[in-house]
Amino acid sequence: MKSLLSILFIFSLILSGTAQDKVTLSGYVKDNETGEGMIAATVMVKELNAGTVTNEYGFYSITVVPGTYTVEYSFIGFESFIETVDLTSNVTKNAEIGFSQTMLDEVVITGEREDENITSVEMSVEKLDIAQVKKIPQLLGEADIIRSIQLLPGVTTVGEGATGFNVRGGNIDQNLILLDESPVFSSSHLFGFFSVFNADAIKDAKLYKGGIPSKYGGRLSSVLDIRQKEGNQKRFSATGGIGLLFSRLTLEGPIVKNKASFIVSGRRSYFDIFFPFAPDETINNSRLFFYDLNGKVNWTINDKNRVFLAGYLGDDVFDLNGLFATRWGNRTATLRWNHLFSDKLFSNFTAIYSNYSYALGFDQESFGLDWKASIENISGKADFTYFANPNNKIEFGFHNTYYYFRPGGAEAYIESNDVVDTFNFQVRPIPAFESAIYLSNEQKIGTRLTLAYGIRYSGFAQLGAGQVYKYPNDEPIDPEFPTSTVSPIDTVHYDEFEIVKGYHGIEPRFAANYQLDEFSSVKGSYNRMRQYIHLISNTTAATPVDIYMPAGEYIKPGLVDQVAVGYFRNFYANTYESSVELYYKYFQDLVDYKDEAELLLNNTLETELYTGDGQAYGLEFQFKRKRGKLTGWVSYTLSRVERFVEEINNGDPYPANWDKTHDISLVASYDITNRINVASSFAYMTGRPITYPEARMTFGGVTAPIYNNRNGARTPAYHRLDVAATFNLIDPDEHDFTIDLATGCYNVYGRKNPYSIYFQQDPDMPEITRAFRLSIYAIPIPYLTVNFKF
Amino acid sequence: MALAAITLAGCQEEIDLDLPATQPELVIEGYLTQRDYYFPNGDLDCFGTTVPLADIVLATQLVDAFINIDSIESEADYFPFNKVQLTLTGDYFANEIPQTVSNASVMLYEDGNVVETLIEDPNIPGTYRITHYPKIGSEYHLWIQALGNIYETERELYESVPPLIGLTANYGPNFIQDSCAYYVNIDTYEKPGAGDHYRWFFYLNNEYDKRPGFISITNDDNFDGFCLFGFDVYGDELELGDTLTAFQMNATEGYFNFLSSLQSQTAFVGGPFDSPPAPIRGNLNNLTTGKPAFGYFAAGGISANATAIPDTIPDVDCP
Repeated sequence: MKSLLSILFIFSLILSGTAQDKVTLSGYVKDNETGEGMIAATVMVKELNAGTVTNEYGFYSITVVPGTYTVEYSFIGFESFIETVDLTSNVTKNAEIGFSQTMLDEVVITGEREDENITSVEMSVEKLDIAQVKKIPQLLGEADIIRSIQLLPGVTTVGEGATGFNVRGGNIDQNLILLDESPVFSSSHLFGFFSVFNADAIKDAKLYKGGIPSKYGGRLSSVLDIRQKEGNQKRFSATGGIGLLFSRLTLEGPIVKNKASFIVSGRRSYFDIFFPFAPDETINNSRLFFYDLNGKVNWTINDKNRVFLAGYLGDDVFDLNGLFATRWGNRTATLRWNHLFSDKLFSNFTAIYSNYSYALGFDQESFGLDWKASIENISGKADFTYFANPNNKIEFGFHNTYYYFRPGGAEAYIESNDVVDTFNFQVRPIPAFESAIYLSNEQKIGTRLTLAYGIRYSGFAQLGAGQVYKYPNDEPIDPEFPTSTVSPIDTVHYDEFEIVKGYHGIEPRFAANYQLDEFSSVKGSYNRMRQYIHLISNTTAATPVDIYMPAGEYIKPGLVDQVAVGYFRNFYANTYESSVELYYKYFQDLVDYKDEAELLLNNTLETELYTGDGQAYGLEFQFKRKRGKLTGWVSYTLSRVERFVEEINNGDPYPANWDKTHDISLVASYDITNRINVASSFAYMTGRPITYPEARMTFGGVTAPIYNNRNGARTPAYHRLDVAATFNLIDPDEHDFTIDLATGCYNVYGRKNPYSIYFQQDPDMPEITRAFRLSIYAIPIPYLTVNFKF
Repeated sequence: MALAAITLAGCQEEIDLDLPATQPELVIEGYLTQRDYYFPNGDLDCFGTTVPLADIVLATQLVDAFINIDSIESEADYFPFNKVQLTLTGDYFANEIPQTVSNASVMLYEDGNVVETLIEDPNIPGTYRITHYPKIGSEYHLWIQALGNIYETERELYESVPPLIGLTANYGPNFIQDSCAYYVNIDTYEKPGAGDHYRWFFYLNNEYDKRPGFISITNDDNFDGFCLFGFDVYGDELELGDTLTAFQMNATEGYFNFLSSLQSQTAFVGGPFDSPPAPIRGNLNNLTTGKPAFGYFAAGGISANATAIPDTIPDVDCP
């Protein structure tokens, strides 16, 4: 509490320092082609050499002493807009800027100002430009944000076919993925082959790996903030693509010109259209597809009020003729209201609904099973930005989320002698409430030093109604025999909304940038994060149907402290960017599974889980070329991710599944002409940790491997080369529509990267044992897609 | 499926790996079993149909008269009951039959007291025979001196098993319902009270079915106290004229967990939903080194039955 008061005192000093006679220039910066607000556009007051950048909605505010100033609005790749503004009183100025004709031939790497990486206090941040994502060679030619992220330093994946992504040693559940501020729990289609984000509907994506601002919380390792397009306010347009296995279409346009617009985007795979031609009846009656539907409407009521309504709906469906079926999908809805209380105080009020549901089952003549689980949440939050003066930008707000976890329930039937017995088993649904308040300031001190400091205070409560089991000594794991199963000795009943268990704590955040000169800077950051929900998985790689469990009586929230330092240097007038970052993270209260843990339909899940700590540290290097005919980057990460769990490996550290010592990515894109582009990417990663047998035994005629050292070995290294080419079939200078032919090949040289390596006896001669490698995408996979826009 | 074909077809292959050599350790496989049956207190309620207790007892007596366990032992390739077999672990890719451990000292304990010193079968090296008749409700464990070490198994509670009243061959659709075949169902019942476990052994034409995918076990989580008539525990198709002999054994939770682990680590591996590798924890400990040894010594009542598949296919509709 003492530290909290100290921080409030500092903020009050900042605010008191602003109470002079000053005037404020504020407004929105928009794309003159679409009327959409531009994120991170620069607004510079030349005479003062002071400026600001627009926020996520394109809003800016800068407060200066009265006078006449030259104001420049700029955005990389766009023609700057310069205007003389007479600032004798507060002025609202909306600026529209457009593509630079002189820069049309150049490839834009980021939407930031040219030296944003040097001047911004942010570090460990990766901003993805969707145009660049579309040029990276992708599986089946589908522009994919998540796969593109995996080519960035500090981001890895367990392997081909693994869902999600891992950031700086964090598990996939430690990424807060926000789609228009709504949390997305599973970012993957088809077990990680494609992401759920349709690139045609996405305006901006930003990944925070460290130095995470106070306004974000609830996950330990990263924030992926994705913003959908708002819809063209000026004219109707359509974008789409027709591929061999899926197609997509996006429609956008004004509802009321320059006032209100809409965007609707859909994508569906049709892998299963060939099934009816298969000779096998099982295949004939099977289904395999995914779809996404994005929609958004925005309405500018007046200069001070703007409303957005956005939604997402997506599902994966796999049904092998009732033999095995699985389905999972996200649904999100976001209602936002931007309101300007004054020229300096921007606010955003958001109501969010999110539901992630997943199911498994089979349906046979004599027996069937239908297992379902879900996470539902309803959030309300308010975020404020106070543009105190050119040197201080204060953000504060509060978030509240109500969760309803359904960790799993099953209905089964068995038919025997024409008698059908049905069974119903439900794991107790768990309501929970999470709340947070935050306060932060980004402060410039002199011309070289920028600080960002803040604090977040979060709390979480698991709620009734329901029964909670009690164990001997309140320990669901017997410390003397940790592999044994402890049985409950009693139950405690909690009434509806009665608090079962609560947790809370402070999360300090700090970042600093010291600019050494125009082209280089050093940065440092520290953040503490708390995570109140855990993904419980004991499969080879996490799957979309793993269980989410909230912190409670026996499962504690995870906590991480991360420090990072970095050196940033640009060359040749910001054409080249380079960075080196070092980071160290210490995790507390992570959960890991017991050997042979039973996770499905388990009301005493806590008896199958161990709690432990972990650490991750590494060095990340990146070198980018941002402009010119040849663009791209090379990145290298040297890292280590370890877990310490007393009951596993005798308490010795063991590497996490996603620990990759070396991770190298090369991405290059070359414009041969303004109508032909070729691109290539190469990825190399150390093999993933895996458990190999130390010996074997024979029991009952079965030859079984003997494992004793979790993740004590590694699979062979992963590497892959992809190539792509895009041909613009219509000259963009002569027509106002475009048709592109995109072709390429994934895994050009057919590397057989292991998804898993497993060990089995020969079915006919049990004394013969063998090792097998299961590879996914082990052959070159070509693609051809036709994209259009008008 | 098209995607699955693209991604998975031909992508599963055998590879060569170098694994370090290890010191051999003791593996035990032992069973203490007798025909000790659990009978209900009264008539059995089979989903509204009453099966008189007298009929159950009579059926059990007929089955016992029909099934000669000794003859099965003499003809079968594998018959583990009332024996303790000691072998050694080997290097994973050694690819040879495990070495047996002879001249060990093996003692059987009942409720903590020695009741028998097991004698090694002169014709089957490494196999030690049990002659002691167990008592329901007693706990049994083994003390072993071998390889210069002292070993001990954890205690196993010996309990009775419901009789395997029927073993019936039925002709019908297979699992994926695209053809018909003969399948075998069992008729039995489950002991009232949660926490029971069972294992079934199958001999097809007197040959023990040792495929790890066909290790057949269950607990009573969803069947507590149920009448299990027509219960499906052997999923494989049977050929015309086959004979199938089944043993139903009462299993302790430890033995059930061991078999479950044995099966998941050998039969269900490599796929996206499969468990990652894990130790298969048995109930034998090396007291000299303080480390776990391997395998399991199990105790529990056993019942048996057999059936013959007809030589003809009945006239029924099939998909």
